[in-house]
Amino acid sequence: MNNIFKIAKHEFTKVIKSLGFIISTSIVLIIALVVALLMNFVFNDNNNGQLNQNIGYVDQSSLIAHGGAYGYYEQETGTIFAGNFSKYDDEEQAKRALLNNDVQIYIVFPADYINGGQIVYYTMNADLLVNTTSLVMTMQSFITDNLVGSAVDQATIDRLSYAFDANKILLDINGNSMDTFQGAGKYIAAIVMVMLLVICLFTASGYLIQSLSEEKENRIMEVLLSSVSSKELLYGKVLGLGFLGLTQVLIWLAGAVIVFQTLGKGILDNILSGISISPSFIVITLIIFILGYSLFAFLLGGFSIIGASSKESQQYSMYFIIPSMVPLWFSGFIIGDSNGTLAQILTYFPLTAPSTIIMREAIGSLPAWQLLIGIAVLIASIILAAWLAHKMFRTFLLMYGKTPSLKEIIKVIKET
Amino acid sequence: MHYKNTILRIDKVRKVYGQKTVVKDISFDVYAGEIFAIIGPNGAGKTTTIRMIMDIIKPDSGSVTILGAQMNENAKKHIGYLPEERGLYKKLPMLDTIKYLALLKGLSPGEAERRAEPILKRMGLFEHRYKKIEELSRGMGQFIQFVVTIIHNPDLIILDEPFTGLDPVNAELLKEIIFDLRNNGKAVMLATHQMANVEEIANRVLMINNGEIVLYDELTDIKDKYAIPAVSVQFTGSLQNLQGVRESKEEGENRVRLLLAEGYTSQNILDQLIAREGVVKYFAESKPSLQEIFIKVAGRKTRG
Repeated sequence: MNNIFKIAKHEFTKVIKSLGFIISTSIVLIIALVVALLMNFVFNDNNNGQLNQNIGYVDQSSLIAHGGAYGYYEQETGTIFAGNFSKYDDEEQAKRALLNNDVQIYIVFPADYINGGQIVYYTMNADLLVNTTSLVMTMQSFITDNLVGSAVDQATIDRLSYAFDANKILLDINGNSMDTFQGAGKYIAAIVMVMLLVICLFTASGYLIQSLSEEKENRIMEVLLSSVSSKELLYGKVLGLGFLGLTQVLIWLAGAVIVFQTLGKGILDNILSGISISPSFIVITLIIFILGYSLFAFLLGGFSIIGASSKESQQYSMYFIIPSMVPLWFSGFIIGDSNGTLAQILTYFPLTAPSTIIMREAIGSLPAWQLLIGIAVLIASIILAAWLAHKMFRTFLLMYGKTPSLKEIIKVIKET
Repeated sequence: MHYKNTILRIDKVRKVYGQKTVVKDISFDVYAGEIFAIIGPNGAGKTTTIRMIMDIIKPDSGSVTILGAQMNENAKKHIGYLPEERGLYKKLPMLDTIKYLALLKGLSPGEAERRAEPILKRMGLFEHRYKKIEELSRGMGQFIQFVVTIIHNPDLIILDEPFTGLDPVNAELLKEIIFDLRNNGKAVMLATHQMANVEEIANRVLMINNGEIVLYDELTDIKDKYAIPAVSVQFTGSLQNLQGVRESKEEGENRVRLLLAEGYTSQNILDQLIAREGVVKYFAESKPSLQEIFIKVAGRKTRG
């Protein structure tokens, strides 16, 4: 075990100090910087300093003083966000106004609004569920100005306007609630998480293959095997380079957040404000990340060793990485019918399970028992992959300049 | 020579790949304080045998014992192994390379640096310690691998083709260090197809061909056993029509090896040379080289 950590540490420090790592990490941050600058430019350019929204509301609480009021918010960029609020007697009227595009959004203040403090707002524009900071500030401004002063004390006004709680619902063109969608924020969270997993897999597996190929081509393998076992060598690399891949993704994320926060003038805030991520989702995502990476790393480690060169090894790795992306291609089907046959099959198939589980968990459609089966499948697959990978690794790591035949590979798999 | 401590014992070890048996039930011992050589042509089974000793390849049958205990991962700390297929991290500085490989053998980086210093100085590599491996010559790289092989003070040192790629000066230096290791009680086992080097340094020899042992004995005993009456001569005059010479062979360095007919001695030949016109610049009894013995023994086995 000690040797595994020594090898992991060596692999991690060797690559993190390399010029290739520094360049590849920097390039992504530079791209984020350029994108932030572009978004900033486009955002300001499109809005011409003024962004108006027609907002309807239905007051079932009888606490709003009058209709036709304005809500107002000035962004850090100088852009003014103004809401023109119109009152509707009931939800039917408000919905009709939304479908006619008279308003872009309508709010329902429920009867127990003063106690519960939660409003519900409806829109057909998913962007208004995501880029919500200005919208929320405008609504807060409207609520503060229009709550019936005599009936409501200042403390309650403060509570209702500052502890803003909104249930956001997206409607389709027929005015039906997109129940299975459950918010654009979650959709974005699902896609972002799956993308991160795939990027992490690409990155870490790239380093793993590069390291194995380098050692094989430079004939270092046997020198290392004089001190450690092939199992320690493989596991050490998987651990060290997996951690490295994760570190690189975290650097990119942290860098992107800093760049967008400083140059994007709150664009990221707007996007993230529509996403509610629960602690359990974070824990599950982390578990799936670790299980998913372990599975792919063992498979890639075991099978990339058969390549006579790094180029050949990269080709073999594609056979495993491509299936991990299948859930992304079918994301529309999975999200649209998140408990359907396709979603379930992809949840139980080892190579697609990590992406599918994360996607379904993000949109809140994964029953606990399916999650448990998915995790069990992944754990069983990792054990099998580690065993098979070690067998392949041990058999082929000293085969220099020659790729084993399919017959030889199948023989090893059969023996395993 | 009398050896006391058995460091390595190989007992009826066999390895089969598909239909081919590459190592056929071979057995031998390696003792402390000796230089033991496994010789044989390429493909004889030398490297496979060593990889089985190192537990890199599992034998199909037989056992490998190190210091009286069955070979396992833990026993690797008693062995220093310089493989035939050897390389280093090209982008890594020399000292970092040594520290990392020593770390895997259980040494701290500080201890590795302390131990490496005198060996690097002896090899003339100390001033290059911060250079990347790719900036060093091939010979230097080979010495660094040798430093890593012995840095943890192992009881058994296995060197697979250690002289390949070394110039004569460095080959001599390596031989000196190998002698020192032996004199300090280490068991040195080397595998090579370069039999001339073995003749210079080995105490005992195991000769294998096609995975089988064809000879296994003290080097001097092997030479005595396969000795044939012969003399090595450098003579400025003519060597034609000497009585008692059945065959002559060029040896290089202007010497000729004369194989003697039955009933003749080296003294008979020397007397004839002195009687002739010319100067005897070199005259010595000649023993067969390991290569000649190998050809004789392996050829016989193959034919048999």
